[in-house]
Amino acid sequence: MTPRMRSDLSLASDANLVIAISRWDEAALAEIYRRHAGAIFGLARRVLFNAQVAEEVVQEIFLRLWSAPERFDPGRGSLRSFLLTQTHGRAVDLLRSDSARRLREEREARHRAEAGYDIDREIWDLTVAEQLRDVLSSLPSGEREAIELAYFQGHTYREVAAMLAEPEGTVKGRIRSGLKRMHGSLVASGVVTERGDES
Amino acid sequence: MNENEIEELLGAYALDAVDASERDEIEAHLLVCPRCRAEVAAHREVATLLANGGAIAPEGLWNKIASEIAPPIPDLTGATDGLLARLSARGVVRGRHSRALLAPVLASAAAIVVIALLSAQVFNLTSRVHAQSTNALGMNAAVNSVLAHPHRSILLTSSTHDVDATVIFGSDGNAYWVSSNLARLPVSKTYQLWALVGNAKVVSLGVLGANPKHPSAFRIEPQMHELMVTIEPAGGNPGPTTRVILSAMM
Repeated sequence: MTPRMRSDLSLASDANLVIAISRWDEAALAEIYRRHAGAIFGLARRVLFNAQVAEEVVQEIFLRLWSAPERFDPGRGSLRSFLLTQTHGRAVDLLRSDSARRLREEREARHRAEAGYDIDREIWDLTVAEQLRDVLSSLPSGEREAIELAYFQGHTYREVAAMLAEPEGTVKGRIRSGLKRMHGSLVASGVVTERGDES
Repeated sequence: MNENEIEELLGAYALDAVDASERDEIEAHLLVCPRCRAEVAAHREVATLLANGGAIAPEGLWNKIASEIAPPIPDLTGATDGLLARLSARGVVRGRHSRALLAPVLASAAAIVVIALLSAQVFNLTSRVHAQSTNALGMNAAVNSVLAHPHRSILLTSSTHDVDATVIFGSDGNAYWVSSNLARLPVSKTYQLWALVGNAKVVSLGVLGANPKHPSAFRIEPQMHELMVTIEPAGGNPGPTTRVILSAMM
């Protein structure tokens, strides 16, 4: 069942919805869920490769927002970025915990069984998909690979270095330079602004 | 790590790809370095775009969340006798405290509470919305600053001593609600902090929200001598309307 919406909330900004949440407005949380739950679930599932655990992560992220909305600072970026950052952090924590070792092994087995894993595949919005595809394809392969392994598979840069048989310094440098290069290209194409907000 | 080493790790940090010890060092640096904070924000904005997978959240997931945010009201049986009895004990309410005579005592006490409500002054009815605008880092920094110097703290407790909350006092009249193990309330309720002034004057020190696990600030005046917490409707009340669940002498 999808959450019940209030028509006056559908036009509210994310920041105003968070303020409404601070007044215990459940409908505001429902509207944020409608806007962002799909992306949050998609990221958690992609990192964890387990839909059931990904659901638990989504639940936790929304309950965190409900209980502590003041942690979101609109001056530091979009709500979507805030929620996805929290989601990624939580998913990676789960992957790295001892109790999740089996989860990781299962996930890696399924990764191996799945052909053609492609970072381009699940890009969310067709309006920015083309720019992202261009930006990704223009990255040196070493940068792209390091970012994929770190972000989508939840590895530390040290683990990535071991997997790629590269020095750790090289890998952390590639991650940083790759992200900078992508940001510069996305600013140039108008997808994000200089301060990092989505346009 | 020196500053250059930290900067080299900002990309990996933004992707949660550093070890816990490195993360702690980087986060300490980010507190004092706006340039690095901006770089991390930019990296995360890129990651956000990559992460937007366009999946559809599973059917029924919202219902699970909605049921979690409206749990049943916690059972407060056995909690502190309450504001009524407290005022009674101070001689404001006269009567016997035996259970057989509880009804008339409560009736008298209720009348007194009405008086207390009428005389209640809302010093600083801080709303959760106000707290929203307060920078969480700033609040933590203020609390840490108090903790770093000689300070006074008190523990508010329930009568059964299984629920408590800690308040610390700065030298400048500011006090901070630091932590508690209070149960989360349903959305229609909030915890509210009060101070007793004299025998029957109760002033609000602020609304603490439904789940007061994080620091919040309030002002203490010299004539206040006891802190109390009650459960009130969301948004708070100008005076307490339910029994006290936590209290402490100041």
